[in-house]
Amino acid sequence: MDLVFEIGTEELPASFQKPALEWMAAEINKLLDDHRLNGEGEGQRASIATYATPRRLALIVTAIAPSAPDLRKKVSGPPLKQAKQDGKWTKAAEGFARKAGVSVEALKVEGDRVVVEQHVRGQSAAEALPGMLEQIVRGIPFRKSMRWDALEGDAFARPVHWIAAALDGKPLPVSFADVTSAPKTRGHRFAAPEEFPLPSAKDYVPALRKAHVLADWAERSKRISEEVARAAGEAGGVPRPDPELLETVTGLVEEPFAVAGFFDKDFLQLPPEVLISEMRGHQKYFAVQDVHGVLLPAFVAVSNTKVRDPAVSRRGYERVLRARLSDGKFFFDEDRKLPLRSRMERLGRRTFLQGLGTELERVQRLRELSLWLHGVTGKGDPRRLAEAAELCKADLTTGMVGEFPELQGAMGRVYALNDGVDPKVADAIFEHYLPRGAEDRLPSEDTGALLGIADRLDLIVGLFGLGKEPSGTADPYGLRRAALGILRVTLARGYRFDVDDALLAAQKLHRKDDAKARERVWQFLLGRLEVLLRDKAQPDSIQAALHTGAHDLIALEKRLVALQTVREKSRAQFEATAAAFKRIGNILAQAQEKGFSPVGFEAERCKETSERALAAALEQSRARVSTALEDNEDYLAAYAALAELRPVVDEFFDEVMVMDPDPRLRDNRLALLRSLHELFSPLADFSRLQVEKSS
Amino acid sequence: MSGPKDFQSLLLALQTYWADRGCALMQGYDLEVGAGTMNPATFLRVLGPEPWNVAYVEPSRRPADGRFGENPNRLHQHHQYQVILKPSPKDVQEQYLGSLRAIGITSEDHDLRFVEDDWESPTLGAWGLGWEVWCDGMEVTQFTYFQQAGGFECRPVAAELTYGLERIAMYLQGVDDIYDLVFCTYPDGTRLTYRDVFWQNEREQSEYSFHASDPARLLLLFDEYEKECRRLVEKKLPLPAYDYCLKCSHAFNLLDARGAISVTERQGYILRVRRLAHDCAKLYLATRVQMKFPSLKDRALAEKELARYAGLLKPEDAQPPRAEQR
Repeated sequence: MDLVFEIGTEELPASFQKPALEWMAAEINKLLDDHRLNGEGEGQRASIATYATPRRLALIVTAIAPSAPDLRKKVSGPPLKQAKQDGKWTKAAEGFARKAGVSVEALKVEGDRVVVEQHVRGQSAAEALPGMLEQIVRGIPFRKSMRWDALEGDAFARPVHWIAAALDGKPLPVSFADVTSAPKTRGHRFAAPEEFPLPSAKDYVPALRKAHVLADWAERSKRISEEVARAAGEAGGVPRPDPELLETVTGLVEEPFAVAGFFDKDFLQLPPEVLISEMRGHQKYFAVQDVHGVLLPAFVAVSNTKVRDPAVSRRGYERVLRARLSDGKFFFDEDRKLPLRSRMERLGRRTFLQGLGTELERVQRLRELSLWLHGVTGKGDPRRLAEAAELCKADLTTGMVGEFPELQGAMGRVYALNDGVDPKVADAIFEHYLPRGAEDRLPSEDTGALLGIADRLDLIVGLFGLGKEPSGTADPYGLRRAALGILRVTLARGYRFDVDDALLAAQKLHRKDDAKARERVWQFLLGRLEVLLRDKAQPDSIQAALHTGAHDLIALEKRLVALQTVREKSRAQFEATAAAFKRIGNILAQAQEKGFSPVGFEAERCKETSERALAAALEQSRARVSTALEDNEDYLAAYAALAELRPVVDEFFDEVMVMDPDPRLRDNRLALLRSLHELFSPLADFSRLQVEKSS
Repeated sequence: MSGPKDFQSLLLALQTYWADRGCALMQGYDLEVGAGTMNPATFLRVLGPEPWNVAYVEPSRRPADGRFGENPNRLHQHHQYQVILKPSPKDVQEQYLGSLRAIGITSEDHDLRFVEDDWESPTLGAWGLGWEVWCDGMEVTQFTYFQQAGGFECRPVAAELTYGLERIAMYLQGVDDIYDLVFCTYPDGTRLTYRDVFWQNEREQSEYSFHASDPARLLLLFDEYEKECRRLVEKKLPLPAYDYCLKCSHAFNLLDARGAISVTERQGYILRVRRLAHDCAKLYLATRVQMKFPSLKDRALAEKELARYAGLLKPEDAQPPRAEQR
């Protein structure tokens, strides 16, 4: 059977629509499962489609089972001792039967209990759906909900005006707030405001289309793209691609009509970033460019109505943009009167974050920290780094960034170039913010890259120092993103430095030295690194490689790559080696628990041949492994040495009892194993690997 | 476009439209306010269960927005047309669109849109959800369903419509400079412009806000107004107390425009005003409870509502705010 369900509302925020649909689809799927109505035949599932416009959220579910199959359910009652006395049913048994809706004759005995088999009638879809749909209307998790009128209790993203629900054309009763469902819907607010009968599942989209509503998100989005391209073409260009804006505009219209407009060529003197922000940010206009990507003095607005004379609304669109661009021009002219260098005093009056001093103190720390990073990595140019650090936050005091916070860095670069600053320094001012998100590009040069790392280290260390660490989903200062930025830039540019030293350097600039806080930051960074590397290896490999004691991100990544390579190349052999090392790790851990303290290994204390053989083999490979690990970072060579040792190790375990009653023998063997374990510990923490036990 | 020809006809058209829909036509408040929301006819009247439908023009002062009469779009003082409909009627959007039609803005000729906008006033402890209404890409109205005021839930919810009069008038008259707006036409055909009426005020007020104000005195005044507000709250006089809360707010705006308040201090001042607003709101509600919500016709409902607010009259709550609450 087919369900059509629509919630009609006042204009919903664009960003609420899709998440609501995703939730509704998942929820109806789950509820149909719970009610055993998901699908008309054995092994079949109902198919779920969702639709949203600013004024409606809709679910179309087809092939719902007409009714759930009946069930036989066994209910157990009181113990036999209480239920039957002297061969007669007791009061307790009668009560149980009455409750179960059967006569005492239907009671059965199973073991020492009385049971009854009940026949549970499966609900029909028409019976079950109204409750499910009410649960859905009440349950949609909006980021913000509101009340309206004098209604108590029920809240929604915006006031609800109608609810339409029908199963195979038969109305379903659903109530919410002061609305009771009726099988009727409405078209476009202006173009087709009249009520009309709720269409069938098959006709829903076409019927709404006729009523000037493109209910399907993808169809509407595509139509907008086409309309915008057409209008941009009329203005002599192409639209600047902007998927994010397209998504927003799709949530703002039910039927799109694009209108091109123009602005004065003089405004093209403004940086393109500013023009684009002015157009897309407040106005939701698409920028228009030529085939080379150069902005034209034109834009495309997307209207929700086909107006009588597009020239009228075009004049309106142009006027608003003109006022905004004039404002932008005003900021641009004013801002350029005061060089970035002269804005230091203003930075001194701005608080960075409560407890972390002023913006001026912040940039002073950034200068020191980025120079420190230069010192340890040998990358970047110290003069440029110092200058970029001093200037990198100066644009926060400009009118333009005040108006468009997303232009921080971009305006810094524009104004720095205007001041005659070294272009590479200007680029670094912009690039130190990169990457701004998971999809964003990385800095192209060392100056911006190192400054960006310093900026994020300063933020994370500062806030951890104040106890403001992210918890659960709450990350108000964007520390996870900052951590990811440090990791991505460091790995991509191959910067070698000891992160713990860097954290200490950052702490010192905050006048702190707190090893525990550094450890918390390190664990936080490791957690993010695990997420970042998720696609590169299996989870236990990541765990094992990252917990090898190194505080050098590049080393950690190399260790992971080697581990994963060896693991994939010769899985069986690797598993056996890893299992042996896990075993060694376990033995050493037990020994430590028992308080055994193996002193230095002495060859002459060896008793068994295999013991001596292992000691000799270990000594033989020690130099090679140390060189491979410490000097060459050739982890694959170390793994090869490890693989060569395995037969000797296996033999040792076959023949030798490590925990010998003789403490001298025992401790000597423990010392041997510890020495072996330590030698290879930079490769991986084998105890974190999930491998089959070696037989 | 067949809309009102001058600024005051626009006001008249809106007044007529909302008067016809049963709104009490009130006046802007006689104290400095930053927005029509701060007028007690909104801020206090949206509290509690008593119905309230009202419309008025509010001259709104924003010292930091002053531009010495030189910017074609920005003003120290602009005019809002404020409508409060409490409880929010089911057809409030249609009523609103009707008002646009009454001033010549129709959906046949213009792209009218309700675009998400969450409204919040940190100084009033008030917030609501709604839209900015766009006409051909221009924001013409702030449309808000009040959820809280003074930290109290609004039950029932009031709909607030705030029209930006100068903007709408510029659009209707097709002028790019605010000062070119026609205010009205004299019998001899002379056009009185917005410049004739307000330009000198804009210049002088900007001069005052940015250069001539005395921050030390304003700080002193802020403290004094705050004390007076608290004293009046203790005297159980919410309306006079709220006047001094408004004065605090304006003193803060002047200090802010002068750049006399650092970013760190700013939050502290906002919080101080918010506490005053909260105390006034609470006391106002308590006095309405004492009067048993007299304008609520449905007395059974009134009894139910009185029970909801019973806590406000408990002796410990009626205690005057103490110093340590600050």
